[in-house]
Amino acid sequence: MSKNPIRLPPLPRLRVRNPNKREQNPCLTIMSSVLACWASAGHTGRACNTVEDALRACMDAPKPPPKPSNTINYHLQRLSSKLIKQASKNK
Amino acid sequence: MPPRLNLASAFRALSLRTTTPASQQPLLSQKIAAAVPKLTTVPVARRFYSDNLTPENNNNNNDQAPSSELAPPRSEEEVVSLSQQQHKEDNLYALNRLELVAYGLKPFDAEEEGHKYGLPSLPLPSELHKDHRYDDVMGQITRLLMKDGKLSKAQRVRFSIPRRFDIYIYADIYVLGHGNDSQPPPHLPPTKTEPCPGFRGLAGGGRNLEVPAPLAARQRRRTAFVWILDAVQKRKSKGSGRKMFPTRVAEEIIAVVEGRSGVWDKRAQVHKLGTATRANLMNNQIKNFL
Repeated sequence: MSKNPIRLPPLPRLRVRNPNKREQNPCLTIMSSVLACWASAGHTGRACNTVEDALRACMDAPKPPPKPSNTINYHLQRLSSKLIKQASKNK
Repeated sequence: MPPRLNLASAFRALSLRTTTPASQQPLLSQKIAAAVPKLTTVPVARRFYSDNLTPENNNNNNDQAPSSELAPPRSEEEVVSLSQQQHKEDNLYALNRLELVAYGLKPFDAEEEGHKYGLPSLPLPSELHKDHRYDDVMGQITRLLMKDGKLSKAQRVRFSIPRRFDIYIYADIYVLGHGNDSQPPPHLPPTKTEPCPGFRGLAGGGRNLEVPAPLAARQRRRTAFVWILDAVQKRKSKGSGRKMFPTRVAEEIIAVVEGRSGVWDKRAQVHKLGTATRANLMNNQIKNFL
C-alpha cells in the first residue's frame, strides 16, 4: 500500500450532473406484468382481468403533483468560491 | 280700363273647414281619459329590487297634490272608500302570493326575494357550465369527428348519429378497453375488456425499438375511435347526403359491438406486438424516457 494518498483531479467548479432525474412511471411494472400474463395465458382470456383492471386504475388515477426541482447546483455555485478559497489556503 | 278690385281673388284666400283643425283638437290621451271612467290603479306587482323605502320621483313638482295639512278634511264616505281600496290592495297582494305558490315557488322566502325563480345553488353542476355541457366521451368523439376546426359541423354529424347508438358508442369504447369509467352493457362479452398498450418508437443503439407504453383513459378512447374512423373511411358508401357519414359511423359501431369489425384484428395485433416487445422495457437507454 502506497504511503501517499490518492490525489484527485482539481475541481474548477462544483456541479452535480443531472440532479433532477425523471422518475419512472409507476404503472410500468403493472404493465409489464399484464404483458407477461398475456404472453402466458393469451390476451383474449379472462385470466388477466384483475391485472388489467389494476393497470387501468393506475393509469386513470390522478397524477401526484410534480416535485420541486433540486437546488443542489445552486447551493454549490453559491458556496464554491468559499470552498475553493479555503482549499487554496490549506495548500 | 277695367277696375283693379276683383272679388274672386278675395274669396280665393278664404278656406272653409268642416272639422276643427288639429291644433285645436284634444289629444288622444285626453280623449281616452274622457271616454273611460276613471279607475283606481292598484300596485299589483313591483319591479325587481324595488322597495317601499325610497319615494317615487315626480318630475312635475308643480302638479303635486297639496299636502294633508292644506287639504280639506275628508268626509266619512271618502274614508270608507279609501279603506275598501286598501282591502282590495291587500287581497290582490295575497292572490299574487298564492299564484306564486301555485307555480311551486316560495313567495315568503327571504332568500328568494326579488328573484322569480330563485338563485341556483353553488357550485353549479358540471353540465350547467358551458364548457362541460356534453359528456366527456361524447365531447371527445365530437372533436375527433371535427375537420378544419369546424366544431358545429362535427356536432351536427355527431347528433345525426341516431340516439339509440349512444349506448353502443359507450359499449364500444369500453370493449376496446378505452374507458374504465363507463359501465359495460350486460350483453357484451366480458373477455374483450383488455387495456390497450400503445407503442413508442425510441432510438436505441442505431435501431428503432418498439416499446410498449400504458395509455390513459382519454388516450385509449382516442385510439379506439381513430381506429373506428379508419374503418369508416374504408366502408363503402351507400349513397350521398348529410346523413350518410353518420350512418356509416353508426354501422361501424354496430359491427364493432357485434364483433364483425376489423378493428378487433388491429387491436389483437397491437397486443401481440406489446407481448413480443415487452423485453425492450428493460433497456437501460430508454428506461428514463418512459
